[in-house]
Amino acid sequence: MGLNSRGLVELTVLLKKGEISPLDVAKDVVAAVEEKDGDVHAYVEFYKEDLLERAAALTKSGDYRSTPLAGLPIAVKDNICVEGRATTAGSRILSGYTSPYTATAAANVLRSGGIICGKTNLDEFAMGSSTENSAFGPSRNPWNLDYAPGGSSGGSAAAVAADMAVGALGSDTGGSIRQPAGFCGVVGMKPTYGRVSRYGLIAFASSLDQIGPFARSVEDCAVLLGAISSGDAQDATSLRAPVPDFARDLDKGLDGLTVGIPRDFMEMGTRPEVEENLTTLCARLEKENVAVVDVSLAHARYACACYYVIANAEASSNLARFDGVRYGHRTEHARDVYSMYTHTRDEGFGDEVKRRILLGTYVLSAGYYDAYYLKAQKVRSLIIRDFQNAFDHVDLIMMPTAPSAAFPIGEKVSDPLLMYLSDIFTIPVNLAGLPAIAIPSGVAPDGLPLGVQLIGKPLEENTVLRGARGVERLVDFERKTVV
Amino acid sequence: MKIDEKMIRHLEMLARIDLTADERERLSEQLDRIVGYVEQLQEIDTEGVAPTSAVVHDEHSALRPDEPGPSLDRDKILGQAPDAKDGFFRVPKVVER
Amino acid sequence: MSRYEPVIGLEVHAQLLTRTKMFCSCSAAYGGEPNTRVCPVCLGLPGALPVVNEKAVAAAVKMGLATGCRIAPRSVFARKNYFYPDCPKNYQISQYEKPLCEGGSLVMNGGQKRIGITRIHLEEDAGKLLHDEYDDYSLADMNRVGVPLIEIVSEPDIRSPQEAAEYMQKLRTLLRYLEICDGNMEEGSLRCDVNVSLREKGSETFGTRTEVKNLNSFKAVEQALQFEIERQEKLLTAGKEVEQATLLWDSVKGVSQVMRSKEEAHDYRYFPEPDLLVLEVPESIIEQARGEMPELPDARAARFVGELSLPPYDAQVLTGAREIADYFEETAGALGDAKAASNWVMGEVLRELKERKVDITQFRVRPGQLAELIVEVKAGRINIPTAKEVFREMSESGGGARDIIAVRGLAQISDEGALNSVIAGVLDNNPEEVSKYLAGKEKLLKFLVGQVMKETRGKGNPQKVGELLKRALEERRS
Ligand SMILES: [Mg+2]
Ligand SMILES: [Zn+2]
Repeated sequence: MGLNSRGLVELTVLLKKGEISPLDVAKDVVAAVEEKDGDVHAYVEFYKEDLLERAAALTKSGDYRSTPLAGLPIAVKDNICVEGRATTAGSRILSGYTSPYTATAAANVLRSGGIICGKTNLDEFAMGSSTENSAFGPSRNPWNLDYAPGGSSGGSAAAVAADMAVGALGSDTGGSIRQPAGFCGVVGMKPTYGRVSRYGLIAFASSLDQIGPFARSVEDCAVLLGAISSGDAQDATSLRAPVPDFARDLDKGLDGLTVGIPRDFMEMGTRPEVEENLTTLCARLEKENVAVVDVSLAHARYACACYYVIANAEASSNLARFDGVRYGHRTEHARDVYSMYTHTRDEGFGDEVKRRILLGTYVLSAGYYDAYYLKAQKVRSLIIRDFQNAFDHVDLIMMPTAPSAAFPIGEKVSDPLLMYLSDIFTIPVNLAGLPAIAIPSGVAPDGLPLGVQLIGKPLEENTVLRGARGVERLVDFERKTVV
Repeated sequence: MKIDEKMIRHLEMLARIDLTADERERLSEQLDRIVGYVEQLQEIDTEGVAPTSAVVHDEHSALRPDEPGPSLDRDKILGQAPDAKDGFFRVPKVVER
Repeated sequence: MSRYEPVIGLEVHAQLLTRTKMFCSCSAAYGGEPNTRVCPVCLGLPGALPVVNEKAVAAAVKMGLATGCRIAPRSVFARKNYFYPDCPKNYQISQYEKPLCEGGSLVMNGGQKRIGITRIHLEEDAGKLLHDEYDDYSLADMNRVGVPLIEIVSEPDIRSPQEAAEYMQKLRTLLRYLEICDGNMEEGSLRCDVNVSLREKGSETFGTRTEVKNLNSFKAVEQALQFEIERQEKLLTAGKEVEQATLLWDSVKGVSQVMRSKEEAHDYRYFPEPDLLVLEVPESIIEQARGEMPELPDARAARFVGELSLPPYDAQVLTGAREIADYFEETAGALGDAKAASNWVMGEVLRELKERKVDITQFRVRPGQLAELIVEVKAGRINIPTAKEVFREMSESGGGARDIIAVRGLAQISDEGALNSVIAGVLDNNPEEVSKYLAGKEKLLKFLVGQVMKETRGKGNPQKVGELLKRALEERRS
């Protein structure tokens, strides 16, 4: 077994003891990528030379021993800017674009001693749930190459699942970390809105977007989250609250926790194997002295509709800057500035992005604003209130990560609405800005992983991580990737 | 509300996207279904409910002191531009419409 | 007399005098090599986020307080969406439903006219587009993108083009008093759009209004409004309707042209800016703004009339600019004679400033030096024409009055002995005029005074010369 498949924390311990070097890890990761990524296509760009050079330099200097990430290779979703690197958000419209600055979260990885080893594939502008909407072609699920890895952070999830990175960053607007984590059998976390700076994250929906970590264990996830979290003077919406030690409560155990299950909401289109998986888990939790109770999220069933209004309204405006004036693609068919805009944007954006921009434009336009955008904002308040009421009684809320396991590539791509519904359980969390983690909870009869999601109160990542660690121990999950 | 041809052309104008005829037919049909789905929001009684446009979990004033910071290198910026001239970004002529 | 009266409202954009831009730390100064004052934020690069400049908020609060607005404890930034190559994000961050300041007013004509101020909100400026003279392209300079602006929106309380220009003047004075905007209309620090409609006199309802944009001088405000009022009046008189439209004023041709009609009106799709929190102005900013609030022009003018006994006209002229009023007050204080100081400031000082095209803060004659000069006049050591000459030299060289008088030997001759000997000589040389004077042609006194002044090379104290000359002539009568 190569070092590339070991856990992040395990590796840092070995590195600090001097038993292995960053170069040892880097070499194994490079080997894995060369062996597997032709099939998986997790990366849009893998920085092989740079990774080996930096790892060699660190190995030589020994400077990695005092940093939390100790020279480990971390992959970054390609909607997170890194200075001097192509940053495309999976879109043709950003072809040729190199970011002149580094996102705060990526800078935090570097400051914590990590090496950014490449950019991972995603649905264009993080719009999608399968990583099929990428200008670079789809990524594939390491458990079954005919299946989608989920999305939009499918590249990061697949890279971590296939041991092609020790950890990875993704972004989660409506489930884009948790759903692919569930589909690929890894751990993925969306922290409280504002915990990780959005500065340098190419915006999809500003009020919902949040960067978070992927790893192969809850503990690894906690360490990576700690490395990237920070209040940021360049992001007005980032939290000023101090960043806690996310590993602090990991081993406090499940005893005494109260977990709420929103049964009324879960009735919606959930596959039987998913329901059964959750029921089994509930029973096991109760044996561990966890109080499992019903909670009501009465408005969560409207979250998907609410989300598609709000997220796309914001997106229609956020994506206006891609216009062919200052960077990226410009059409060759411009007669005047107006046709320069319209052709550039028609050529540069894919179908899903155009759909969402047009929908977002519609819900903000004169005569429709109140009926759609304002209405959705009010429904958002009700969804938040439901969570607040539920959290009066429980420490955590648990539900499946998605209503089904991963689906085959091509199955939903022609039916956007069906695709949207695969995020039904993750979306309410973004609307409320809550921390939530997705962890593997079993394997479906077709051999694909199932995931469960734990949701916590605002700023209480530590309770979420503690619960997740407890569940992780209860569930006997083994990664069975085919690559 | 039906997303018909007239509406989609209006949206294209506002969003500055010029769809091909094919795309227009496909997307308007899909959009119409999505808008139909979103209609379910109208079922909800939101009387007296305040809208939420941002979720902020701690109290802070996010103001910036008026202190200058670095600007970007012009050559680097214009080097990325699809078209530039004499230190300016160059765009096809602006026609009011 | 027209049947109609115009109903006018102004939207004034003022650039704030901050060091950095509204949402990023690039320099907000005017000019600069194109595209050198840009960063990921103001260039709208992927992933960049805005953060509000505290100083811009403070400046807007000052203007709000100075115009009696309510300062909203919670105001909201909103995106105004439109595509234009001078606007990198293709939306402008502005305020829409919940502006920072609301419900103030500006009083004009010594309290006779009150213009309501609907709102004052914060927003960011756009870049500059130049049209390439050689081909069919436009060139964009983004240095100005993101410079902080306040937009001051008036109620439709204005009733004539002159009143509109006066209101604009008054706003400019106030902005400059508060030191939050330099008011330089040529450089575009202060710009104005007007809304105008006509209604029959006595009517309470509003007619259809049009908006005229791009008014970059007081003259343009007045002329564009006059033009638009006449255009609307012709339509209405001919029984036609005014159509809602946005027009663009061409100050060279002196005409406005329709930029877009109602059908083409933009749909800006305003919505709350999700990258910024609700703006809660810290109490400390409001307190500080109150503390730093200078005496405003109206109050100052009233004090000049009440305490310094200046005529209201003088008080109004002197308080038209904060620096002029400061200069006057310092001069008057050093001199102890407000009216004399006022006469000099309103006369010679303003004339020199105009001729030399120099700002009063850069003017070489400082208030103390002016007072010294006036003291010389009041003491009779120099006469008024000499004083004006000395003043001109002072403004040229920056020298002191007494030094110039001494070096150039300009002191007035008031010594009776010296003057009497000159007078005797003049009378001896002009026997004919003397006898005519004595025969009753008293007008000739002026001629004789002139001769004496000529002999003294202008240094004779004219009053004294007159007295002594009369006495000498009387003596020759016998
Ligand atoms: Mg404005
Ligand atoms: Zn900037």
